[in-house]
Amino acid sequence: MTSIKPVQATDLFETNPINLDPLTENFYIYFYLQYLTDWPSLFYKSTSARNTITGYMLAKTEGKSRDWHSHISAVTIDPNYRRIGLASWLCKALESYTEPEKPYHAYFVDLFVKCNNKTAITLYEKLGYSVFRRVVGYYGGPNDIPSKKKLIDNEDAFDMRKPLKRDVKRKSVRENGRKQLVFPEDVYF
Amino acid sequence: MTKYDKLIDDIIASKNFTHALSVVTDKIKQYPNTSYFYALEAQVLALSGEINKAIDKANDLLARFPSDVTTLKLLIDVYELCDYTPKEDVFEKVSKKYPTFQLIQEWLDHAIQNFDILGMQKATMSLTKSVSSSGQSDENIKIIKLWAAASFMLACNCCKSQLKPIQVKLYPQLGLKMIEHLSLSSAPEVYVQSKLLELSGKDEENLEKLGNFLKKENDLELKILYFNGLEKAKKYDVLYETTKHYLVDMNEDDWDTWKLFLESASHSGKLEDAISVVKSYAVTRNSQLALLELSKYSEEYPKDEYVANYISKYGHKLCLFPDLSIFVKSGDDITKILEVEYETRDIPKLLSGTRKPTEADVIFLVNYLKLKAYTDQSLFKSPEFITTCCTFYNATKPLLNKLVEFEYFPGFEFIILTIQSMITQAPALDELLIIKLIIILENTLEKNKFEFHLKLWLISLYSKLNLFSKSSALFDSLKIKSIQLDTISYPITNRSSTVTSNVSKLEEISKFFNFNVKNEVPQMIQNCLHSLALNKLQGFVEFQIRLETSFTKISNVLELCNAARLTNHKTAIDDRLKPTLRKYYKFWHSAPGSTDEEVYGKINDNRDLTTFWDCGIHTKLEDVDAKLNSINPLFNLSYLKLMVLRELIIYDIHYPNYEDYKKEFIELYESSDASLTSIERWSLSAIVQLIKGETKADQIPEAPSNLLNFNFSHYYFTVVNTNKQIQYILSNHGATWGISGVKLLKSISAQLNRLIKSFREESLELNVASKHILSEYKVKVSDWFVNDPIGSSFKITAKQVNTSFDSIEDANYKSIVELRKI
Ligand SMILES: CC(C)(COP(=O)(O)OP(=O)(O)OC[C@H]1O[C@@H](n2cnc3c(N)ncnc32)[C@H](O)[C@@H]1OP(=O)(O)O)[C@@H](O)C(=O)NCCC(=O)NCCS
Repeated sequence: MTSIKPVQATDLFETNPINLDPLTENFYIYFYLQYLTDWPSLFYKSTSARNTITGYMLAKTEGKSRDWHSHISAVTIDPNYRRIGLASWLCKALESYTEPEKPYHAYFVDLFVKCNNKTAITLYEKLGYSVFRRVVGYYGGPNDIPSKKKLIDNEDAFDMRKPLKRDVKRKSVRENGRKQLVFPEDVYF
Repeated sequence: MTKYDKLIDDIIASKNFTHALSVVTDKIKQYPNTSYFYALEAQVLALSGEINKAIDKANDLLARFPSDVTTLKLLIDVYELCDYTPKEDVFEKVSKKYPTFQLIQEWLDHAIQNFDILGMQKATMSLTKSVSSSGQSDENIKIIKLWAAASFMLACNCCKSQLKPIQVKLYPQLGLKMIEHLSLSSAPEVYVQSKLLELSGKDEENLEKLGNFLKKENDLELKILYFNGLEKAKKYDVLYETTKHYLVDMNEDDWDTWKLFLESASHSGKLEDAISVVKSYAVTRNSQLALLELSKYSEEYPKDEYVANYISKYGHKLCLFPDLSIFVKSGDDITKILEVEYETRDIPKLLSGTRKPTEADVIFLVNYLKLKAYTDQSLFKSPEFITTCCTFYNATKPLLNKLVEFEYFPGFEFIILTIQSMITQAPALDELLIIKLIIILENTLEKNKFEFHLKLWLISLYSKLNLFSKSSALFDSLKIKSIQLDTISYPITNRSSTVTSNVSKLEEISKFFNFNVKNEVPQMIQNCLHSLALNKLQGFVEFQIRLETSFTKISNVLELCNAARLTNHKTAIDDRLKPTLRKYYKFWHSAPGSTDEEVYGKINDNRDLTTFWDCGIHTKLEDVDAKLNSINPLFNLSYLKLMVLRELIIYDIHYPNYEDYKKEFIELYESSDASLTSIERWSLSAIVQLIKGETKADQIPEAPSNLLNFNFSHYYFTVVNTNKQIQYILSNHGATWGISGVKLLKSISAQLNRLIKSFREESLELNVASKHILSEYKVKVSDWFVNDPIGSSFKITAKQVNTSFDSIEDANYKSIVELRKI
């Protein structure tokens, strides 16, 4: 059983079953709190019948004119609650919050995912996302020098997008996105 | 310390207070109108122990209403140092005299920094008064009124116990008055209004306002308030229609909505209609559980049938167990249902090896076994249960080879159930058993290398075996950081100062609290106010309080004290750790009436004690827990308070109410519910005897003999530490304890010195002795994995046993190195 509820700062004390996952980032406190102050309705959680947190969506809006979009910063699910459509549900909820004219009216939703995170890539593709570009060295360490000649799945990210209704001409997506290589500094809004 | 004169800072830092005082006096002569130097004078007096003079000077200065913010903050520090509460809050007093917008803003900042909710309330209220006269825009006036309203809400919700009954009644009304003529357009604004209406008991008006808003905007937070409000007001007809609208028309398949839908149906005689809604709804996890929920309200709907239905639909999903455990209770008999499903899913063929396992099989078997064990916990006592777990694990483990990177193999649960069962069946948690469990778990982790429950169990077991370096390496592999340092660092920090001199983790935790939390959270509360995310404000403030008064934060300071003492780092304790401990002590006494729901005025235990048990049957098994806790028991609240008091008794001799420390310490020690080890109890008994004026020391407990046990290092580290405590008292305030006190301390110290000396001599032999024990264990353990009916079912090879022993031996050597340092 699942409910969707808004996240409160105190929920951060309860996220271990989700955040101990190797693919889930633990951010600094200010990062989470900033999402709560700036996009309070875009940070929400799924809960169990015991009211424990079973997954969450951390999202924001950004960009100018045609690049105005919602961005998934994290979506992650407690391993005990996987493969029952929770992540899909959280992603669809984000579309429904940011697609309408009020308050956001975004052109598309996007996210970054490690190129070797096959599970998540399958999930997003199933939801209608496609790769827009490959960001070389996005997840690399401070001493790694990214190179377009050397693609490393564990360090590169796919920038995946799904157009929303406002993007009538589907300009936010393209074919062959996997072959479009860019560096992290090329990605800004 | 001061922005005015670095020289004075340096003199104060060097603790040359006489010199500092003369420099400050000169400064006052030179700048008689600069209030700051008067505050500094009071501070120097307080630091040099001239408490009464310091208070007088501070009071004189305050009576002259200094409006310089640095001076005010320094005055507050002085009062704290003197443990003196001025008649009126410093900022409040001065802001009343000079109600400038800027000064009150500073007051608000200060209140936020110090998580002083009532201060926030007063400051925001004062801001509303000053804002009108300071020519601010209408928009700013609105913002400030909203802050004041939200602060009234905070005061009532977070520290009700600190308010007088009349304030409890008045505050929500005052809050509403603040926003009376404002047009509230956003969901967070309406949220504050709704909370205040609720607190004022104006339920009708609240529901009407929420209902109207939701017609315009489907806000999640307000929807929840609306539903709960309807339930509380018992407006079941409206609740029924509203929940139905959300479920059916808006297709919001939300569990809480389903629950309220069925509850309201049963209260308003609409169960038949509700049943048809459930049955005609799409088959989803929620709607299928709604069928089960239905059986709560109607006997016509037999629970068993829906349990069977749910198992057949979701038996191959891991959520089955947590979902069903809401409806099925320990003691319920669902064996038949499980067995039917077992047959339907063709499990016998899988176990006989005639077909290959699938992902659905392993998840079903995990669920099957978990539900069986959950409904009949006596299974943990049965050796057959262990064999079954192993059979299931071995039948499904070929799937381990197909695991996608970063994914988990759910079959690890068979192993968790096994080790829980093995601990249950053993009379005690001895070293041999721990080694077997470690080998089993390591072997399971090898191919399921991201599974964090396995790691948490291993961390705990390695710690019992006195192998800190192993626990620590596993802990590091979990990449724990930020808030996790508060919630889940305890498995490696609990008494770590008594097994290792490595303080890197303790320092990292300290940095998190004293740097990240201190700098980030108050700033974000400011941001929360400025961006009017007022529906998040209470969460932010509670978050801050829980971190600032966190159990882990305090236990970390205690561990750092121990470590600093061992390395003779006296100034670290005096300058950094002691003031912090005194602050905690005062904080937990600041709000005596604080209720369980309030986070204010107490130590908040944010430790995550559930994830460790969130596998197997997802419940703490008391017997297993007791056995695990027999070695290095987890700190509890009494332990924490007792140890804080001990440090204060040793280091805070000038505290004006020092006698209170002693009294409380004795009370807590004698109530004996602190989770102490025997050597800790003995160590504290020395202080007890000192306070009571006894002359004969208690006998030191016998030293443990097995190095492969946490208690071994813990014993010697504690002994050395106790000796250092005694030395400190003797050389710093021995005389205050009288001749008999000094005699007692000297006699204990003499005993300890003898013990430490002989340990240091023997420690050269430790390596040889432990190699000998390890080789004995290795023979027994190897034999068990080959010849024992249970041991052999794990199919652990001799090579795996050897690898584990090699790494245990290596870690054991590291523990010896640590011991030799003391
Ligand atoms: C990726 C993740 C969020 C998916 O969550 P989830 O709630 O299990 O996903 P859903 O149930 O909505 O899955 C939808 C679809 O995605 C695909 N999918 C999801 N998990 C899959 C898996 N382990 N293997 C194969 N396909 C998978 C399937 O096609 C699935 O549909 P199906 O179950 O009907 O076959 C979850 O595995 C997770 O939290 N991973 C760790 C954190 C992470 O990687 N987040 C993404 C970072 S960008």
